[in-house]
Amino acid sequence: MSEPTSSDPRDESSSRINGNVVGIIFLIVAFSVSLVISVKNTLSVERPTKPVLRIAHWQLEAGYRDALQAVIDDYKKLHPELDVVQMPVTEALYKQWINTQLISGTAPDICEMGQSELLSKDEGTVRYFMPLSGEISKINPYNKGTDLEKTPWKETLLDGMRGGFRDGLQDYYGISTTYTSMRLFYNKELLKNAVEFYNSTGPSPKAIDGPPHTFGQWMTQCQALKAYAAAKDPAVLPVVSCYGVFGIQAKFEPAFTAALANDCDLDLDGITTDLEGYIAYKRGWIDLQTPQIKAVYETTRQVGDQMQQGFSGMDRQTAQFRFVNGQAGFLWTGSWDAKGTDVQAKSKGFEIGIFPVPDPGSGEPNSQYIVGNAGETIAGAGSYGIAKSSKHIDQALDFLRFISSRAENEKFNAIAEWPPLTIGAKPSELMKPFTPDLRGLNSRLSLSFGTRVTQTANAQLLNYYQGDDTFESFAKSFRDVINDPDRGGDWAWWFLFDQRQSDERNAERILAQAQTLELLDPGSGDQARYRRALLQEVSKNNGQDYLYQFKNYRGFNMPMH
Amino acid sequence: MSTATTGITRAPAGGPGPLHTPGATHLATRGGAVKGLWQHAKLYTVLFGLMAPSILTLILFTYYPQFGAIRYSLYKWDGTEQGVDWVGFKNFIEAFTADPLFWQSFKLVLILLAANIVKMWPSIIAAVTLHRLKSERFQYIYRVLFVVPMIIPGVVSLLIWKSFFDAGSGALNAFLNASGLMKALMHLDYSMAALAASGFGTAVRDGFVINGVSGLWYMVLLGAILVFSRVFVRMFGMDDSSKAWTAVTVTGSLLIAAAIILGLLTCVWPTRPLKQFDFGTPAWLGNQNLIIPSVIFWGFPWVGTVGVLIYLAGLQNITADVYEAAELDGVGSIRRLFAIELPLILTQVRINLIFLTIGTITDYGFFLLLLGPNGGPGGKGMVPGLYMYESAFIESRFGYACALGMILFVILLSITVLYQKFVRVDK
Repeated sequence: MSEPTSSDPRDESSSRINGNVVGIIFLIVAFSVSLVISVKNTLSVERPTKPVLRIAHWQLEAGYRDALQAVIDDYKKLHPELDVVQMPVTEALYKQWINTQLISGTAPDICEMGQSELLSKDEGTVRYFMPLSGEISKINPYNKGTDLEKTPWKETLLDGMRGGFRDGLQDYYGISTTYTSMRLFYNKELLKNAVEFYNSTGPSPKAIDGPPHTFGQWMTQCQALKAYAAAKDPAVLPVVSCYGVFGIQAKFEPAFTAALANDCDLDLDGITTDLEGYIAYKRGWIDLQTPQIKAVYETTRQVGDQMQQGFSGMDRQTAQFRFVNGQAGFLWTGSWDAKGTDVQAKSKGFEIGIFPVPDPGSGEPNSQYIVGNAGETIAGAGSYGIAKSSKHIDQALDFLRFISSRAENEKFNAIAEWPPLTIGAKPSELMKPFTPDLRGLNSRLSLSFGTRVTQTANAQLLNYYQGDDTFESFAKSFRDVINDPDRGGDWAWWFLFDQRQSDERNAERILAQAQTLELLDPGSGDQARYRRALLQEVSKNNGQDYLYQFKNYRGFNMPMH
Repeated sequence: MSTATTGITRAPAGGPGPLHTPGATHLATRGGAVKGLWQHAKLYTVLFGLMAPSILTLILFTYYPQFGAIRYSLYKWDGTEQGVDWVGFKNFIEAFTADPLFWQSFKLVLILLAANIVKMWPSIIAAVTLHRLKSERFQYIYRVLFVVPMIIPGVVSLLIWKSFFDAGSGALNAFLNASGLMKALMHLDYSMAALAASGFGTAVRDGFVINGVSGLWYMVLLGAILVFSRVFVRMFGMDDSSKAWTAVTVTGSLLIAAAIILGLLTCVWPTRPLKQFDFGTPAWLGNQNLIIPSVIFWGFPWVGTVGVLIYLAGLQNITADVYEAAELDGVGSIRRLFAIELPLILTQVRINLIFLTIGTITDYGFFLLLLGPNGGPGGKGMVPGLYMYESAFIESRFGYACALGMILFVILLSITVLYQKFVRVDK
């Protein structure tokens, strides 16, 4: 082998920088630097000198965090010995995050209930959260000086704490802070321009530029917007919806079908269940061609006609985007979107108005079937529960009392621009239109029999609402689904019976647990809970009522699947 | 690397084990059986010890849940700890005898599977093009460009595509309107509807209906029998090289193709126009008749990053002498693709085919995010995975959903076995 010369390639490679070595050095340096930074940061964190109460939620809507922080600040002034921090987590990640925290025993002291099965289903709730029935019958001290000062905590909320009650567990596990309702938002400026333009073309009836009082007036406004779009801006749609059209259909159901529902109430208990509706259908008392029922679908279809072609393809964000960008006259959404929509609309230079979906007025199509206004109910939302793993359960409970007191609930919801839930707490101007109208009819007859039938039928109904199918075609599909011997109405009834039996087994376990506790430690059991579970057990009678009703009403024994 | 440097050698046939040290062999041959066994035990303990963490993790996080699904498929389970009742094979019997919706959902899967097999080709062609690039520098740059999209999260990509299809502000409608193609689609809509409603359409659709099954399906069935008869003949080692067999295969293929074309012309389109294109704002994801075409078009031009890289890895294994021989024989560009490159990357094609089939049959997240749990208008986007999800999370029938999952598993396994059998690498 010859002596290497300066031109020998091996000599060149030895003098060249070795990429692998550089990579390893780079990796070691990066690792060392991050290690140093991590250690430094860890050491620099001040150890808390006082207990910290942690509150987790997923409400990242405009204003909510500020509202919660304002309540926290007020609370800290009263309790300087305690630190309170909120932990907002995005809605998409809340489920995974809270599951991990709950299972590993590191859950925040107060958690917003929902999103995850561990927070919404009974078995998760009972395992990880504190039952509150023992506390809610006591007085809320933070209502002192008001007319609620002697009222039990439970009675101080508009929904009687129904929002935190779990039927399956017969106990309260959450304290609600607000309630929700859905309304139509409208772009005042766009509507005014459209109405002016439309009325100038000389139609009859003329459109009005304020909140409509009847369904017909609303539809005329939509016509005005369509005419305006055709002449001035093709991007403008009369109506966009964040949540499709089925919520609007539900709004019409009591107004049209309350009387019919009472006629179908076979057991005369004041409630027409899906099963009673099914029996009425099978006996031929009602059908999709029944005028009141058809009127619900036809009226909703008219709303669908005002929306974008194939509106089911439009998601919530797109609907909001189009509304706040002045491309839609009306937006169908809930109270939780009010502040964000209002802020964005103002930034685009227009004002919004809010009103409930109106029923057809006298002389308007299908108005002859209207039996009265639909009443609304208050259902608490934004519920917070206390994790069993919390080391500050008493303080957490106290904070929930504080946030649900009249003054703080009013303040909290005024900043968040959500409707307050505590009795006497005044809603903000923006929230006033969301106040539920409790007067009116609640009975309804909806042709939905069980999840499977409803899901399949709704997929067909959507075609009708979107104008892609005729009513007759939908009616045929519906008949096929409901009469399916394997997965139709009879099966749905059996499925409810089966679920009822499972619920009964769970109730038996609650009773057994209560009795065991009583045996081990007399007097320690929750008597009220025991009585509730026992009552449920007796009244539901292992689903035998379903069996009996099926045989009695359908005329043959329930097929067991 | 020589055995002298590793100290490990392969045992002769019938030896004590696949791997052993030379020292151990020496002792064993001298009758030191106990000591030899001890040496083996030590070695295997170390080897299994090293593997244990991976195996345990695999068992705990992959196999245990899967076996859990098998177990729960035999129970009526509502997802709670308490609500578990043994029902044996009742869930399976119900799925096979009383749940037509589940089996109907396979229609869409079959359409998507056929479409996805066609959609594999752009990736193969892209990989071949990359492989044939003469400049290594450009090859590298293009490879990087193919990898970059991988960092975009799936959900972001889904939202981008969703906005692309938006009826009002989507890029697709904007392009179709600007290019005048929307008008062409409108004319197509009316003419296809007229054809479907015509006597010809009715005859094709309703002709030769036996037991409710249209003549078109009999055409497909007959075509498939003819095509597969040759496959079976080959399986049993019989001679299939005669011209008669070629004619049988061609006839079968033509029958299938004719049925597909006739079906597309007369059965797929409704007998009245969709009228979605009239105003230039078709709701691609909001109309029951446009959902499936949109889902098929999704991801255009269908050049999948992972697919390209896998094919490229296969192509790079083809040695230069094969190309040189082809060049000497005067093989052209297209023939090189079908005679050399494609046959030699069939292993990669098979892998992708298996992944693609698994993905198509089991995927539901895409449809759930896009169309909701009931599969959108008319339930047109209902796939088996979504049906399974609906059974579990909407109806709380977790046990039944597990049974459906097991059925899907068996179907997938069968298809994978078929792929292994028929998509062979013939080198």
